[in-house]
This record gives sequence, structure tokens and C-alpha cells, in this order.
Amino acid sequence: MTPRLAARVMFLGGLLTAPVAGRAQSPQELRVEVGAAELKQLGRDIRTATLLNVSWQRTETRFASMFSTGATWARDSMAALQSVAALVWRPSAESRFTTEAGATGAISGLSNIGRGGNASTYLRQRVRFGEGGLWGGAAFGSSMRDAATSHGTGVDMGAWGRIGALQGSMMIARYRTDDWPLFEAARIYLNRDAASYDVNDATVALHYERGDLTLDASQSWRDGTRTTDVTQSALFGALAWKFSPRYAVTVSGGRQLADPVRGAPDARILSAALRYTWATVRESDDDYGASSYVRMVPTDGGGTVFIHVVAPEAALVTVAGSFSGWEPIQLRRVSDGWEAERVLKPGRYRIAVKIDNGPWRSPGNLAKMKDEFGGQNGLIIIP
Amino acid sequence: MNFIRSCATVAALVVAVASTASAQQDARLTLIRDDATREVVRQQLGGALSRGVPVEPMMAKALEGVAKRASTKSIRAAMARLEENWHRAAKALAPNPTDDELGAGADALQQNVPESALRSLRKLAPGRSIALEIGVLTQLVARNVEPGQASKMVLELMARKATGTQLTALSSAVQEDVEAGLAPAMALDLRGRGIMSLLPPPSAVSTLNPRSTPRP
Repeated sequence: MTPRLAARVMFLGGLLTAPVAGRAQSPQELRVEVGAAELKQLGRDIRTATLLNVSWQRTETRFASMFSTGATWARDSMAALQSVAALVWRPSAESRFTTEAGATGAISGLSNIGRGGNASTYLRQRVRFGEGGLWGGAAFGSSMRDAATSHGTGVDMGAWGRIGALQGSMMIARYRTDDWPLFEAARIYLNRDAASYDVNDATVALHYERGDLTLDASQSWRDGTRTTDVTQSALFGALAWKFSPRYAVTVSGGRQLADPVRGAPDARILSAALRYTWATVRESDDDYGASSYVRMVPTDGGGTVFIHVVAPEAALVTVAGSFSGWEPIQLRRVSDGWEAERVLKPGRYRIAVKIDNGPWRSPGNLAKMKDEFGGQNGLIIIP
Repeated sequence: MNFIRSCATVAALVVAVASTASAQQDARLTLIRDDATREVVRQQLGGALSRGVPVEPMMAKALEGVAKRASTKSIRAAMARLEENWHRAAKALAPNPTDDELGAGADALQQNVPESALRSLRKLAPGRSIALEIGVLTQLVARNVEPGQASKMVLELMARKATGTQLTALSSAVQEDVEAGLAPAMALDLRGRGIMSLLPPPSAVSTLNPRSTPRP
């Protein structure tokens, strides 16, 4: 990190001292991230930019909504503003199907390919199978650069899975675009006279979480097809260290390939930021109950119990039960909350969930029993 | 005669001391960091063991209280209540209840299932474990089904040889219906009928009056 970049990180870190006030009745999460980045686009000088990103997420049992907006400001007054809004829906709390639809918008000047903007939409369907799943999706985007309009479409499919604390995913995608300023700047060329570019992407991503550390890494490969000549690859990594319940330091760097749907340019990025997370938790018994559930899958000689707690990442979630000697069990982060699973022999088990400093509660879909300690237990019976 | 009486006394003492020692030696006691709580739990375990209540459920209750940061007083009270319910369940499920049945019975009593309901279940199935059936009954009552209606349905399903999977499915289905807005009584009636339609009719006397069930 250069001294100039470090100075910006320290200065902006100091701005985040006043916590956001107020509590709401539903779990929601607000993140503010400030930092600095060095951006290097092909054929351009390195720019140092200031970053401000605000994201908000609200999670219900069947719906989750997300909104994120980010601003980038560089010394030469070139700036960019990007926003993403998404809605996630699943038919029921236990359903393995999740549908996600979203829209993004950007106003951009931080590039050598003209001032303008972009709007895009996407739709993605996920199917979960135990520890992993599959997804398929499609996206469409329209960009305007110096009054010239272009379009990009993409279809993608992928799979994800988890082994312990390591989560991995693989994606293949095909893009078509007529955004020649974006692709020319990324040194992607047409091999003949054609109206659009066609590229295939493959991406492998890893996410590892242990204690206060989170590590993300992704490697992408791009190959031109039909009309397009290109072979590119990009490696990107991010490290986050949560040094307090609300604050984390993030460092990320690597290359991001040009995005033909969102209109983002090919760039090498090195950034550091301070992240502040503010989250609300549910206060009432009913709300707590509605935010967790248990699903049981019978097996030979017992059953596998899946425990799912819908809660923001910043919430402190504890799940314990008679099957663990009332020791808290290890949970893993999933898109809208926390999950764990246990293989149990036939019998009766009690389980309880606690979020932050709230009371011990039964998961919402279990028979609720008073626990004689001022809380509740859920009663599980494995036949 | 005196010799036999002396031997019996010594044997009883040995059993009591051994039991107390076994309670005291339970490694899980070390999980209780607070000295006062650990001592109270040790005493409660020893006392319960000497009165015929096994260590396992008592220790589980104590560890639950510790995990939930309950006060020593609350943990002592909860353990005492469990022991009391255990003895009540033992009477209701006599003559030879298993520990599993007694644990389920104690849970049921804590949930305000009447002892008479436990006795009815026992009468209907005197020769096999009814821990699962008691558990399902407890779940139904916890789901706000009136205890009388819940025990009547469980008895009827038992009489028709419903499997454990069918019984637990009934309980889950009632929960789903209640969440969807149905009254618990109606949900149980609806779901119970659904399962019964898959089962053969009761072979003997109606289980609605278990007292008339022929003795084996």
C-alpha cells in the first residue's frame, strides 16, 4: 500500500466514530465501508481513489431485500456512483428453491472510455441440496457512453458446495455485447466485421471463514468465441479481519475483467477499507421464533436435523441442545443467516436458539416448551 | 435373620455410596465453573441418584441451566422439579418403565399433560416402550391442542398401529396447519383423520375407553 493510499484509509477511518442510533423490529443490517483504492486501467496511469460504500439488507423468513450504493472519487475529479437493489424470495422457510431478482444502476466517469451510465437487471434461480446447490441465471444491461448506447446480455450457471469452513463455487457464463468502447479498452477485439462480441467466462471462487478472519479468492478465465479474439485471466482476493463486533478492516486486490452487463471496465484494483456494521435483532418472542426453524430428514436409524437461523451476519447467534450437552454448536454463514446440521439417533431432543442478548427461544416450527430458566426449548422427536 | 438384615443394610449403603460417588465423579461437573453451582448440582445429583433417578437427565438439566446462565437457585429448582416429575411419571407408567419413557413422561408432566393420559397410554401398550408416543403427545399439547383431545387421538392412532414416523408427521402437520391459521383442535382432527384413513380399523375394543381394553 502506498503512503498516499494509507493516509486516505486512516483519515476516512476516523470519520466512522458515531454509531447509528435506533433499533427496528426486523433483522436488518447496515454496512458502511470507507477506504481508498488504487486503480489501474489498461493504457492509463494509476489513480488513487476514495471509496465510500453503503449497503443495507433486510431479511424476513421468506423475503430478503438488499440495497447497496457505492461512490468512488479520484483526485482528478473523475467519479463513479454505482447502486444495486435486489430482492430474494423463497416459497417457504424450508424450501430448497430461492429466486433472486435485482437491478443495478451506475453513473460513471472514472474510466478512459467516456462518461455515461449503465442500468442492468438480473434473475437467478437457486436450488439447494444439503451443503451445496446449483444456480442458473440471466442478465441484461444497457450502457451509455458519451451519448452512445450499447447492450450486454449474459447467461450463467454454476454450483456451490461447502466442506467445513471452506465454501467454493464454480460458474460458467456466456456474454454478448456491442459495447465496443468497453471491450476495446480491455483489449478485446473482433476478428471480423461483426455487430457484437461473444465471450465465455469461467470462474472459480473460494470463501473461507475462521474466527474473525474471512478470506475470499476468485480466479476467472475469459475466452473469445465466434467473432471475438481474447484470452484473459484474472485473480482477485479479499481479506477481512473483524477486530470488534462492529468493525472490520478489509483489504482486497487483483484484477477484475470488464463486465459487459454492468459496463464496469477492466481494472487492476488494490484497496483497503474500514467497515462498520450495524444490525438490529428481533425483540419479541414471536419474531425470534419466526426467524429460525428446524428441518428433519429421516435416515436409516435416525435422522439428520438441519437448523436454520435467519439473522444478520453481525448478530451473535447461539444454538445449543440436549444433543450437544448444551454446548453451543458450530454454525456456518449462509446467504440470509446461519445453519448447522446434526445426525441424531432416534429419541427426544431439546434445542434452543439465542440471538444477541435475547432470550433462549425454540425454533419457530417446533413444539415450544418452557425451559424453567425463563426461556423456551423446541422439542424434536426422531422416530 | 440379623445377619441377613445386616448384609442388606451394608449392600444398600454400598449402592448408595457408589451411586453418590458416581455422581460426584461425573467429568461434566467440571464444566460448571461456578463453585457454588457445581456443589449444588453435585448434591442434587447424589440425592436424586439415591432416590432412583438416573444421573443423565439430571445432569442434562443442570448443564442446560448453566449454558443458559441461570442462577444457582433456578438450577436447583429445575432439578428438583425434574426429580419430582420423574417420580410422578414412574407411578403413572408403572410397573416397568424404561428411563426413556420416564424422561418423556417427566417432559409431558412439565407440559401439563395429566398423569391419567400417561396411564392410558401405558395400559394400551404395557409390553413395549411408549416413549415416542408420549413425546408426540407432549408436542401436541405444546402446540396448544387440549390435552384430552391430544391423548385421545394418540391412543386411537396407537390402537390402529400407527408407526412412529406417522405419529411425528402428525405433530409436524398440526404445526403447519396452526401456522396457516387453523385452530389446533381442528388441525389435529383433520390431520389425525388423514392418517387414520391409511390405517386398518382397530382390531379390538375402541380405544376411546382404554379401561375396556382386554388385558394381555
